[in-house]
Amino acid sequence: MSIFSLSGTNIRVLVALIGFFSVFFAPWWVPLICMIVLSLRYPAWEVPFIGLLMDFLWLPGGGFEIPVFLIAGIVLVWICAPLRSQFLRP
Amino acid sequence: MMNSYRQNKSRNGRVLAATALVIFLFILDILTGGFLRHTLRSTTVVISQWSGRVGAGITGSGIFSTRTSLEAQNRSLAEKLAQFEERAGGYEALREENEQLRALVRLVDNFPLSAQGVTAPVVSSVRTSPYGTFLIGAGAADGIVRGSLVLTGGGFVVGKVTDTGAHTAVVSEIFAPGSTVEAVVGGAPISAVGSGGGNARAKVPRALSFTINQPVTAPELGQRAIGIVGSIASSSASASQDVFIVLPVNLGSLKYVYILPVRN
Repeated sequence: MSIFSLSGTNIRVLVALIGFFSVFFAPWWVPLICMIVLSLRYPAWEVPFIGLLMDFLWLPGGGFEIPVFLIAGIVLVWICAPLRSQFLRP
Repeated sequence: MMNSYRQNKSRNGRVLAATALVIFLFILDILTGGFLRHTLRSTTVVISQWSGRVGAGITGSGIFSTRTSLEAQNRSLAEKLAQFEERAGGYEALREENEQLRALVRLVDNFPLSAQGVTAPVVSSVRTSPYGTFLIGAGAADGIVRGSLVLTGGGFVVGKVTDTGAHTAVVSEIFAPGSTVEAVVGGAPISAVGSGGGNARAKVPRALSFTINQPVTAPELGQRAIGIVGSIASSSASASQDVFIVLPVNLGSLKYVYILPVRN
């Protein structure tokens, strides 16, 4: 058993952690990619939280601007649900 | 079959709960005047300071010394070059402003002694935000309010404060992607569309002539300089030309900014 053989759950945790930490330090497209990957592969409740974190940190205008990342997170996680249930049945 | 159905239902239930919770948190944050947002941003400032110290400790320990020293030297030289370019741009802007002021009989004092600004550290990278914003380590407790102008050391306006916490503030770049600024180049009014990273672009009639490094000012920002003409692209087949405006300093290398107070 190698440390490089990651199970599905480990990959999910890893991508989610990259997503959360990249909100603070990495270019904005890194968390976006993590959100897309998570939504496509798992019923990831983490995705809206990454979006919320992104908007809490970087949204200008005292919260009255359109929270694009939060909306994108919610839309992604729900729009990918039928795809997941159709093609990625356990 | 039944098991799979139950599993899916439970998973969707978690996603539904997460969706409801994030919406609740977002509304709660607005209702509390940004309590969650400001707490999170303060935490980011602390994390940023700690990661900076850890980074300095690692580089100072001698690990990766050869590569690090070369990278540091390269960075330092690039920063010096950017500083010189910014000073040259700033000098050009000042010279033009001086000429205009000389032509006026009555001068208006733009900087009264009572209007002293604040110098604040930049605590986030400009590349991290998708909205063309960055965080500074000073806030309402330091006298910063919404609408305060944010300047580089050379006097170029880089942004406006759009949200303030007690010790942090969010700055929106003047040239944030998609934003429009009414500007003046050599007496000609233009409408510059920001593309992020301190760059903007304007479409102007081909009859107007501009030169590289010509300062660009914004009347709505008290005639302060917002950039210089970086390049011009024109074609004989077109009636208009594209003027590319750049900030003479790399936004990513900015460590400190100067915040002007809002005048009443």
